[in-house]
Amino acid sequence: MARVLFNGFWVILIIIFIILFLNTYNHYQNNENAISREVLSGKKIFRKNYCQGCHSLFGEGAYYAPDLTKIVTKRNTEFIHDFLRFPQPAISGEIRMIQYDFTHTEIDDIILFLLWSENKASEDFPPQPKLIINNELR
Amino acid sequence: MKFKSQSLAYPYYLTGFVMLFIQIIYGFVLVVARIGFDPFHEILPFNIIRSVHTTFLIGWLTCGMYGSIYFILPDDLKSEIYSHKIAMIQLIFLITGIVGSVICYHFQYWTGIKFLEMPSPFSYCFLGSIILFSYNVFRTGYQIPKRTFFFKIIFFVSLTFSLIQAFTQFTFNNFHIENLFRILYVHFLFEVLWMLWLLAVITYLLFNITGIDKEYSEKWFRYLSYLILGSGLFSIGHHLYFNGAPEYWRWIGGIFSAIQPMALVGISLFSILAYKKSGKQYPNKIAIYWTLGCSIMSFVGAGFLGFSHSIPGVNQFTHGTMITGMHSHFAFWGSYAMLVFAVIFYSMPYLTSKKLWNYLPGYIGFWMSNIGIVSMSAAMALAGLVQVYLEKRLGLEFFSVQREIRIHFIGMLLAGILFLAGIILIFIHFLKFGKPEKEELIAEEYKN
Repeated sequence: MARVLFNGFWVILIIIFIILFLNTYNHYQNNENAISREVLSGKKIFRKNYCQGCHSLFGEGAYYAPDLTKIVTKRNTEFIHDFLRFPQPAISGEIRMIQYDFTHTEIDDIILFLLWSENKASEDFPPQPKLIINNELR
Repeated sequence: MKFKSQSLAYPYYLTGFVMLFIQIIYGFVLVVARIGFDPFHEILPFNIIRSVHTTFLIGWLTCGMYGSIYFILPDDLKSEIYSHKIAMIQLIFLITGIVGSVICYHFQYWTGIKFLEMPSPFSYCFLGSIILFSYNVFRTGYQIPKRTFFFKIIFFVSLTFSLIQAFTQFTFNNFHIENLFRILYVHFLFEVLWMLWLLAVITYLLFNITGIDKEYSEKWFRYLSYLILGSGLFSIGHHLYFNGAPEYWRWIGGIFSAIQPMALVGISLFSILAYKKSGKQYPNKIAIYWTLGCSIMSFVGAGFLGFSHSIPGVNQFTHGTMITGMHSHFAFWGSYAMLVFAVIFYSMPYLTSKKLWNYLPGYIGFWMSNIGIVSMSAAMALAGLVQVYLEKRLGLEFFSVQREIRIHFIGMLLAGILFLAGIILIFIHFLKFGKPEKEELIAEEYKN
């Protein structure tokens, strides 16, 4: 009896996990309609050049270069376009991104992909910085 | 050694050491780049070096896993390994998969997915090695009438490892879905499957080192396995907090991340109790150092440090910072690297019949490598804390913060030198044993 209960417990646990996982899968799939050819091309360029080998997206990847979550909203399209054409160090003398020689179309695709990724970004990530007012963090 | 098959472990140990050294060398290039000295940036950018670093990590730990199982399984089942030829082909597949991938990275030929960078042909080689391993383990177990719990767990680990590795070949148009499967793979491999391997090997080592009751050790083994499986499965939630997954993962991830370290507390407790309980004076003290060290350091690195930043409210600020880097370095060392060394130094006297357990460089290597990795992690923790406060709390620009934390990477470099010196001494100790003896030897003197 104890054995049956024990095995049953594990079966239920695994079923719950599969249901949650499939629900998460569906949740992400709701975004699929918005994947245009340009977004897909942007994603391929993002993977091909292994951007997450230096950057992170949603905090995942490497931590050598800035996180790209909501970067288009934060920086605007023109800035990212110019930066990807001619990467310059943010601080003089510091390390800069390598020159990838992307075409205008490729850069547009990357930007569209990053914009698309923002659809599913959590509101509280990256966290809003706190201000120091009267010697206190607010 | 009691079984000729046990000598199969040796080539895996040796390959593992070579891969570890290359991993460390690339690690030095990474840390030097973070300090700001990066002359090869244009031809050898950070993403290439980092991919090599992590691929060799997976490579050498997999070597350690294969080697440890090939040493333990014959003794556990009282049977030779089914096929020596398969074991050697498996090693060739593994080396081809890892080395081939790493060469490809230098030409920017990769999948571009973290921890799954291996390009298809070499990923298949790696998968082939795991399938061959599973098959060899399966056939070894099924050539005898009664299977042990150790065998069942190891077969489960190897089979599931090959299944999830097979799924890495699928890519999706949807970045989020691709990322979901990546997280499932990485989490399940590092936090469930390899944890089970850790528990199985630690139990075997403790049973043989301390001479505790078989029933007692098996009881711990069973309960902790279930705890690792249950908590490990659902704690995947802590990877899904901020990438747009449903909100319930924050609750599930938070709760199960708190339960997950209990398994590691259990392993530490089991090790200490078993050691205290034993009346046996086991002569191979260096193996005891590594075994007990592994059980405690895995709790500190993987358990405590993991839990300390897995709570959603904390993870919101630490996610994607050097705090994660600190945790992964400590956790991989404490849980898996130390485990591989524990098996190596437990098994080498049996494989070579040399009683080299009082070899001083080995002890110095143990302390230097451990102090080195703790110092490296401390340097990264400091860098991470500064980064969290300046960048995430106060909103300073990323590069301004990087300049502020540069000093901690100099500390990390110095700690890394100490760590490397320790690993060299450990390797010298390993080499001192020489190759395994061909003739069968049952070491009676170890049994008292």
